[in-house]
Amino acid sequence: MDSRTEEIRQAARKLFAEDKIDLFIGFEAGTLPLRSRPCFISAREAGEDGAVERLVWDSFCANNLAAYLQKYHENEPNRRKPREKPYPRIGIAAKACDLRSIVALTKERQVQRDSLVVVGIPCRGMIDRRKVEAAAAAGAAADSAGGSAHPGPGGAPVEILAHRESEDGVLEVTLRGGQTLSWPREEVLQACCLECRLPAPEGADVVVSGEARKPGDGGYARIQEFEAKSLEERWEYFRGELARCIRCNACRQACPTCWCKECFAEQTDLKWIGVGTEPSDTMFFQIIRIFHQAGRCVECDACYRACPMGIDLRLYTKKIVKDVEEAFGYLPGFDPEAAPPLTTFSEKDTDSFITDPDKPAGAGGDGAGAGPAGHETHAKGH
Amino acid sequence: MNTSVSERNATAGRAGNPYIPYPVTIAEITVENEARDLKTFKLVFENEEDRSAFAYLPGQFAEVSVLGTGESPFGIASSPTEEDYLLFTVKLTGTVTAELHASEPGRRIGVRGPLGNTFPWDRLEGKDIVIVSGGFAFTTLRSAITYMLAPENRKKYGNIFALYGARSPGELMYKKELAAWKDSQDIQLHLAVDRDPGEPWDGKVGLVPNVLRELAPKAANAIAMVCGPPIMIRFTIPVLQELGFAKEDIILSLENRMKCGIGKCGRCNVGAKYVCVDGPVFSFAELEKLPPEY
Amino acid sequence: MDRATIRKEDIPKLKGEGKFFAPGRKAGDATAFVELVEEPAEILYEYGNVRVPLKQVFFPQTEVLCEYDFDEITEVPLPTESIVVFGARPCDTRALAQLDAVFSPEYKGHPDPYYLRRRENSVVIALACSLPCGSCFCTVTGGGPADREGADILAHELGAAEPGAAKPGAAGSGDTLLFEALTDKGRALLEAHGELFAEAQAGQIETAQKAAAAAEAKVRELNDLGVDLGAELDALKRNMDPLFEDSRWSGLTDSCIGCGACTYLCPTCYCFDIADESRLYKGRRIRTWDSCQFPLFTRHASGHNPRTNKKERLRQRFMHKFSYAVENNEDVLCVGCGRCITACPVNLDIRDVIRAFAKGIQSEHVSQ
Repeated sequence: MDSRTEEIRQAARKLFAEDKIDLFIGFEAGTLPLRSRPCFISAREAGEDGAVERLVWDSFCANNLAAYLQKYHENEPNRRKPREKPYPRIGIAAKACDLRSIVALTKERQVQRDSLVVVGIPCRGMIDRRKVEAAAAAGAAADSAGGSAHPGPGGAPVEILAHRESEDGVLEVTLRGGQTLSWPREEVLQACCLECRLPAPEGADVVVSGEARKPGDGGYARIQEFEAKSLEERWEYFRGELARCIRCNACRQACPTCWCKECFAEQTDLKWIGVGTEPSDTMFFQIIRIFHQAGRCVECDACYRACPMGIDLRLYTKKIVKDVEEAFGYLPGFDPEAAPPLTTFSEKDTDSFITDPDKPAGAGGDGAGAGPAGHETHAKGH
Repeated sequence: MNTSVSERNATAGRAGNPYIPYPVTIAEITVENEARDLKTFKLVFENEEDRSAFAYLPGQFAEVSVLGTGESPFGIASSPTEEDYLLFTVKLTGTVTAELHASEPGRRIGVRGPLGNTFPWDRLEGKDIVIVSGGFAFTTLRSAITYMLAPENRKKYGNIFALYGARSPGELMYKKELAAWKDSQDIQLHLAVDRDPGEPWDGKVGLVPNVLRELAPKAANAIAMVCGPPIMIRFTIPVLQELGFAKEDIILSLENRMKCGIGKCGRCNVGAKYVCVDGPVFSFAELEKLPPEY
Repeated sequence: MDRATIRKEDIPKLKGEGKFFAPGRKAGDATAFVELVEEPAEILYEYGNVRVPLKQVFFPQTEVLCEYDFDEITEVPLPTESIVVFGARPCDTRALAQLDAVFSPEYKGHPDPYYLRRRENSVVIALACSLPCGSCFCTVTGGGPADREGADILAHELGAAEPGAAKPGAAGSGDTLLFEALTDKGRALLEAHGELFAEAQAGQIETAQKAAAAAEAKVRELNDLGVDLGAELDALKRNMDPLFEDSRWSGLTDSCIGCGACTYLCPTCYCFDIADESRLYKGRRIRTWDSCQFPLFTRHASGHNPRTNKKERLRQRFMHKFSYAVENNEDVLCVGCGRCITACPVNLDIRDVIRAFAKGIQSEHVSQ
């Protein structure tokens, strides 16, 4: 367990004791190995023994908790009178990506920032459970000469019974059958964390101690490599990945910035898309969903993790992030005043889609496009 | 080899397949109300064997199908004594109803049915009947009243009292039938409008539950049948209980979102009961046992 | 002949005239999941369970009910092909038995001809589990790793590992299976392919039975939830309904994000939608999987929605499984496969629900 667990519990206790919040959203231990799960503690429960002690912080707190906030801030549609009941005051444990989602939701008027108390945690990165399972399967095969490990539940290649993370960052797992394997956590970290450029939460109301990991490089190299492939290769990959889609909507529900009460995919008047698993429908759904994330996606990989079929959604979310950054010099960050690019117009915005339609997308516009290192450099003052 | 299970069962759809509608033609469309959002469709079966297979009793519903748009469940407004056609009254609400409202006579559509349970006709024999209804939900009661008033059936039932209310006189449905029933000795019909209509009106003025309290039909040897919007039902039931009706003797018809209509798709359940097969007709006693999720 | 042995290499020969499904890897699938695949290049034995359950073979995610042109139905594509499934786990076949009950005409009075036709023309061979996982709780719901409900044949790997063995490599390394015919269809399959089968020896039968018993003991050890639902049907009928208004539902459902992963990967969930999909005037009326977890599932055209929030929707899922199905079908609509637990993005755990209400379920009070 991360040493900051106690700090988070203390922060929650203090907020409840000072009557600053009605609810705290954080993480607690999961019911399966390699998982921690979202945890909700109300002010009433906080007084009970052991309530706040449920909170933990470790390398498995990957869920983006911002996804829960919108429903607490709902108003009736077409409300003419000012809201009578105050918004619930919510304390929330937030990594940098969660906080960037909260900022995005604030800009879109889906969340009342001043009714939140954000407990920001400088993030060291979260471990990727699927990487651990794959590494364990490989390790187990190599170890037990000729045999392989017990298969795991739900299609997993191995069954991991327990995990332990040491203070010096080594993850050890025990497999069914008794074998133990270990890796330095960097080897099994989520790709989005390895690539993350903004791991330190800025603008949190309470900051927990510790240093965030060093920023990564954004991971655009993979996108550039993919962009260089032929149209046929790219299409075949996309088609192959989406062939597994079962339209369960987990990607959409896990995403904090997918908040429409009625998703375009559910509208019947007009009916934009079919309801089944016709390939054109599954592909269309993902294309539109990801385009709707332009300028809003924080690459928390919640969609990728939620997908029960393991579809490579993160290639495409990262592509949309890259395109927006290169065209508008914008990356969703911590500043709630920075106007999102699709709601603003600057004379310097690129017209190349009109003047030079064959120019590859995201190749940088005239005057815009700060490149990977900057973010929001053009957003203010437009 | 025996005939397969799927071939044996011949109810509800073509060739024993309850998902396939019978083809019907729209013979006539009647606008029922001033707001013009209620239309009654007279449907005629294209095939005689489909018509005979569609044997129903008042209280049941059918899924009306518009190929290319979808299906929607509607209570059957005609009585089985009206042998040559089916009547459905449709309120303009969503995509299927919009498509129906935009239709012309002569158009071919489909029906799947009859679906659901019926009013409890066995229990109703020999009883006085007290009908209370409001708004658009009167459709299946048109079926029930027409059925009971048919010469071959009238003797089976006692006194028939009916109270039907709407927002205004123009919103009352089935005006021709209402006029005939007003004059009939076989039924005591009372009409009510919510507020003073500001035009000559010889019916009652007031909300249905209040008018019911005023008219105070007798509960002895009577069964009440109540169809209306949820709020009207909520206030009518206590009045009926005040008048002495037992919970088992108050009959209601529920609505719920449906798709298959045959108890398979899992959508319309209230507790362990599926409104499309265990209902839509329930007694208040049965309903009280169910979770309040409707 | 009721019991016979067959070599693993001969399993593909059991394919009939139509389709043959067995556990394998889907071509072009980059994940490590094992799925029920049509004629896989290699039949796999070292897997806990397939990712997408057996229901998808008989109740596909998308199915055409009829085709139409303008206002006329042009075709009703009732299934005609025969199907042989090998290697479904007993939890999935037990789930199939429950779907059989729901789609039969005896249930609420109407048949589902699409599902029933496929089932009539199918033979299902279950493969007993020898390696239960920590998330398996089949015994709690009345099943077990060698359960005999729903399948036509129950197969056992001979020479499979003892559960918990240090060297699990033995799983899949044996080359013989014991087949136990459970139904007439199962016996007919053994007859039809007589040349592939040898009579089972007493020792082999005993090995299989011992492995089955050991696996069952292992599951019971792994997951003691304080109540054996399979044995408590009467108690569930009495006591689950009053638990509808219990205050603990909120806490149990707070973290749900309302995706449909649990329902879609559940072998017993069967809710579906019907929609018309056209191109100009020609099209198909299809049915597709739907989920009671989606907000629009129960929303009326008027806008009224009987279940407006997540708590109500998630409660519906659990009440359906542990109360309504018990009343309508005399069975718990859950087979303890654990997929909902592993698939849930927020690690919501159906076992927490069972544990929370275990005492309430078993209480002696009698509700009105």
